Amino acid sequence: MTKKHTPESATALLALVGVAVEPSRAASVADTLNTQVTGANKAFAALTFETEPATYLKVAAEEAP
Amino acid sequence: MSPAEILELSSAGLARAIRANKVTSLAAMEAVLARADSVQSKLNCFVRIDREEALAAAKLADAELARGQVRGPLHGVPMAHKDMYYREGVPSSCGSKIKRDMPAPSTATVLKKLDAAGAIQFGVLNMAEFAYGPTGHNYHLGHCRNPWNTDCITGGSSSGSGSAVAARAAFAALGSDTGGSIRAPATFCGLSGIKPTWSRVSRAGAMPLSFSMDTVGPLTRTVEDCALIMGVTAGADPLDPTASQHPVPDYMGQLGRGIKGLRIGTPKGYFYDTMDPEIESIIRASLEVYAKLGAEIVEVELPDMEPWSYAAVMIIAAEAGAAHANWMRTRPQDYSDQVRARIELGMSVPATTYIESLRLRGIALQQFSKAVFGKVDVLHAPSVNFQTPTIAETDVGGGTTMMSVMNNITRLTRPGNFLGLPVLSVPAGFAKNGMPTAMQLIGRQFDEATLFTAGHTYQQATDWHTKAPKV
Repeated sequence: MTKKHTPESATALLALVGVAVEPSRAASVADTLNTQVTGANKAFAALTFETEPATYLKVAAEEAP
Repeated sequence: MSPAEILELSSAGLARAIRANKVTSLAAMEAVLARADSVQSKLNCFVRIDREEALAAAKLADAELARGQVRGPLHGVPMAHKDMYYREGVPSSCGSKIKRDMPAPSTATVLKKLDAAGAIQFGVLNMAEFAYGPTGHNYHLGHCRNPWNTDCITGGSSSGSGSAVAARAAFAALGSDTGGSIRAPATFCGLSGIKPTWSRVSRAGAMPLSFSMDTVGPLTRTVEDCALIMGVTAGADPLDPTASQHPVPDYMGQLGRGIKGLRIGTPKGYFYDTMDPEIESIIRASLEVYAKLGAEIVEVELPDMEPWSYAAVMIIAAEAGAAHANWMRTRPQDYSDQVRARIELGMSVPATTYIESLRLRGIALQQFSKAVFGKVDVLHAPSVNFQTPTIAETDVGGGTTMMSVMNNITRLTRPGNFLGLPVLSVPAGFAKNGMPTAMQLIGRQFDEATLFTAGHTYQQATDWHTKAPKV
């Protein structure tokens, strides 16, 4: 089950990388994080990954049909 | 030639006229400077105009021509560029408060190439703060305005480039495109614009936003101008190890090939999933023009692109977060709320999500290439799926609706960046409210030439690109 960020956890997460979030903005930061990252992870859930990151630039035009 | 006649010329047309001694570079520069002065208070498209230097450079260009010296195919053509291409010793604001007083350490390769081709830069243009916004809002420099309707957005992030070139206050301008930042303003301002293949144009000396998505390209009056400028700016660069060694074809020489037999795909799904009916009818009509010109129109079933759309957002956010991490720690108060909120997202994206997004790109490109380029040479699609919104409607700051509003604006352009493919935006008509809209032509990697041929052929048969706003 996905656990969502709260204003407090989002603030703590950004504090880990040295960024301060004012209390008045914390709810909005948490909401954006929940919506975007959760959305991406849901979209990825059905996919099977078989390549490594570097390959995307090597799929050259000549490999296309 | 009168100043008004000069201002209606394309970059290629002006370059030809200068070489043929029908107009001087000085006359063109005086005309464009006067036009810039007259529209600036309404459009806020310029950040700085370097008047005296530009006039001196134009006089020098005329003197060189009188001696038989032609620097290159853009000899004497005045241009202004998005304020994120560095000139050594000169600050580039990048649309921000943070960088506005920082002198650049070196000159961007793309500017050096344009200089060598004879173009004269006379100013720098407004843009979204750090190129991170698709609307044209800028809370530090003031919002840029659309010359077709100053209540409407220009599109961004190359807002000033779109506004100034459409208003005839510059003959062409560089923009940059990470998620649609050339194509959105080209669409909303009625211009041609090319997002090249990723790595096609050097990014040395250009402000970075998202290193695996950023591209450099022009916004122009015509597709021919895009071809001309790309011919000058594309190519390898020892200062940018990511710039491709792939040979640069003669784009201008291939413009006249025609499109008889060219296979143009029209997509089922994604691009037409949610579509304003009036915009859709304009885009469908542009496809009919291609059919009449002899292209073979083929319906194409696309792979599921929704995950790619999310992945693109994650990649841009994470890479922008990393690029801005230090300023976010030391000067967070100097960002606007919206850009700050977007960078905070980027700094919070889990590393695993970012890497999953990158891993998807190779598969996505293979799937897209098989589905599309296995059947056709070019994919034709709308650039946007909505009517041009107003500045007020999209003034969402950094609040909770911000990301969905921003993501919707770039929904149809973002896949081009995710896949790294070249995409040409071409004006396709006007909505009943008088606002222009555009089609996108998506090509194979490094096949900008086919896009230019297709776009140029369309513009030979239509006149949308010749319409000028009354501002």
